[in-house]
Amino acid sequence: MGYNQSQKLKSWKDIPPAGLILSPGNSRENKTGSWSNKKPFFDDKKCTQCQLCVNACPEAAINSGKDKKISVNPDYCKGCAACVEACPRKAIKLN
Amino acid sequence: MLAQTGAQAAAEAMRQIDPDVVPVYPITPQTPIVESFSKIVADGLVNSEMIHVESEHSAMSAAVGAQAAGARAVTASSSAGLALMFEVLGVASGMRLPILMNIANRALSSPINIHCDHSDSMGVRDSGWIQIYSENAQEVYDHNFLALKLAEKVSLPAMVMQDGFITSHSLENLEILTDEQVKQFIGRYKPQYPLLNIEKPVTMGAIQLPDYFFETKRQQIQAMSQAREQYDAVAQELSKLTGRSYPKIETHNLENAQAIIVVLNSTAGTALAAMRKLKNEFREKVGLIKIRLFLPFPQEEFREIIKKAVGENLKTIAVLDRAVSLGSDAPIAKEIKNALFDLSNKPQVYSYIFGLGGREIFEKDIKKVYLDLISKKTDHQVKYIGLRQ
Ligand code: SF4
Ligand code: SF4
Repeated sequence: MGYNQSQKLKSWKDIPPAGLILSPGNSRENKTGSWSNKKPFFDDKKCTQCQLCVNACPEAAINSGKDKKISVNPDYCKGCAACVEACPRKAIKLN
Repeated sequence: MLAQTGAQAAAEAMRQIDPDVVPVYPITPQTPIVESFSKIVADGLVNSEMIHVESEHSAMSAAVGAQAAGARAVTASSSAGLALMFEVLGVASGMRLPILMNIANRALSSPINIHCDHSDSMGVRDSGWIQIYSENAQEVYDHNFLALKLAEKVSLPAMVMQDGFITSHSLENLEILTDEQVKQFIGRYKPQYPLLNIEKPVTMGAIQLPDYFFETKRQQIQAMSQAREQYDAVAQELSKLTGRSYPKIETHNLENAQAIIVVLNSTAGTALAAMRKLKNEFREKVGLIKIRLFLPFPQEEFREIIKKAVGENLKTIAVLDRAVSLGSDAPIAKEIKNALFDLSNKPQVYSYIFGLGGREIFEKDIKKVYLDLISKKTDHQVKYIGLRQ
């Protein structure tokens, strides 16, 4: 599913019956961005590292590192474009 | 030996199963099942918790909750009640909960009609439930144990059908097992992942998106095949207790038969009586197939039986359906044509519709079908038995 899928999906023979979830705290394993068909790309030249997109993202999928450089975690990005709208510099494009 | 109606037979089987939870909503002609069972509960003969819900949707939802918790849940319904459960039937099978349900078959509205046909259970045939059809009260009783054990083996729900009024309200002789024999046969229910096991918490019924939903459905398909495979072993074990046999497909007089009728539920009894009363010269030429396990449909077995019969003498099959699939072939006719499609030497398959909304079918009607088949006075037009032309 989707592109940039980092998760290895299991066969029907290797999953619990009836879609059961056997261990708690498994939200981390559930790559919620698997169904999006577009992901954001950041134009480093335009970005002022203002962090507005980080706050705008409903999935907390945008990270900024120690150097304040912006990156997106595609496993959780749902392609909603809220970050695109939030960016005052038009530095983000969905593709 | 007891004198019991089909409905009482179902309630008696439920008494011996002693389910943990019985959520029900009454509906004609299923009502005497829950009525009889509520008396059993009031008399303190079972430990069952009976839940009087406000609708069949709630009845099945409560059964799902109870079974998921790790309890044995049994319920019953008919017609519009079963239709109202439709959404939750898929939840029960999708969550792989082996709930047992007795169905007294009744026509679906509209026009409103309380009498027997199979449009209710045939209407839910894609919902992932095992379906076993019963000719009489004795089979209703026996099939309850068979269905429950099979259901729990493969983690799929199962329904046991009986004809509304015809079976549910008619008194018959009933041989019953001892409570101990039933207990031994069904054993304790050992759910793999009960919700109430706090040592091993699980989440049930969570969302599955396109990445896994398909895989979960594939498991359900597999469980249905397993039900088909494991049926015979369960049936044989029950046979040892009762002395009666429960083949998926019951055959009568197929050796040398040129023409056979395929039918299920009470009309199989009518057909057998009609066949036995035919004159010798005709009787030798006809046979009868009664389908007991309708879902999962035993395609292979059916094909093998027909292959052998064709090798002997078989030319024609009349499939008698007490339901229609509007805009398509009738449900059983369709299954049978599907099962025979790959046979190189196929008999002719004719579809007959009968008994909608409780329209009576008599031995003379069945006799006429046989005589028409033998004298080749039939064609591929669907025929309607007992309908005014
Ligand atoms: S597209 Fe939506 S989900 Fe993806 S990074 Fe932007 S705001 Fe977050
Ligand atoms: S909102 Fe735009 S400018 Fe601000 S950090 Fe995000 S991408 Fe850079």
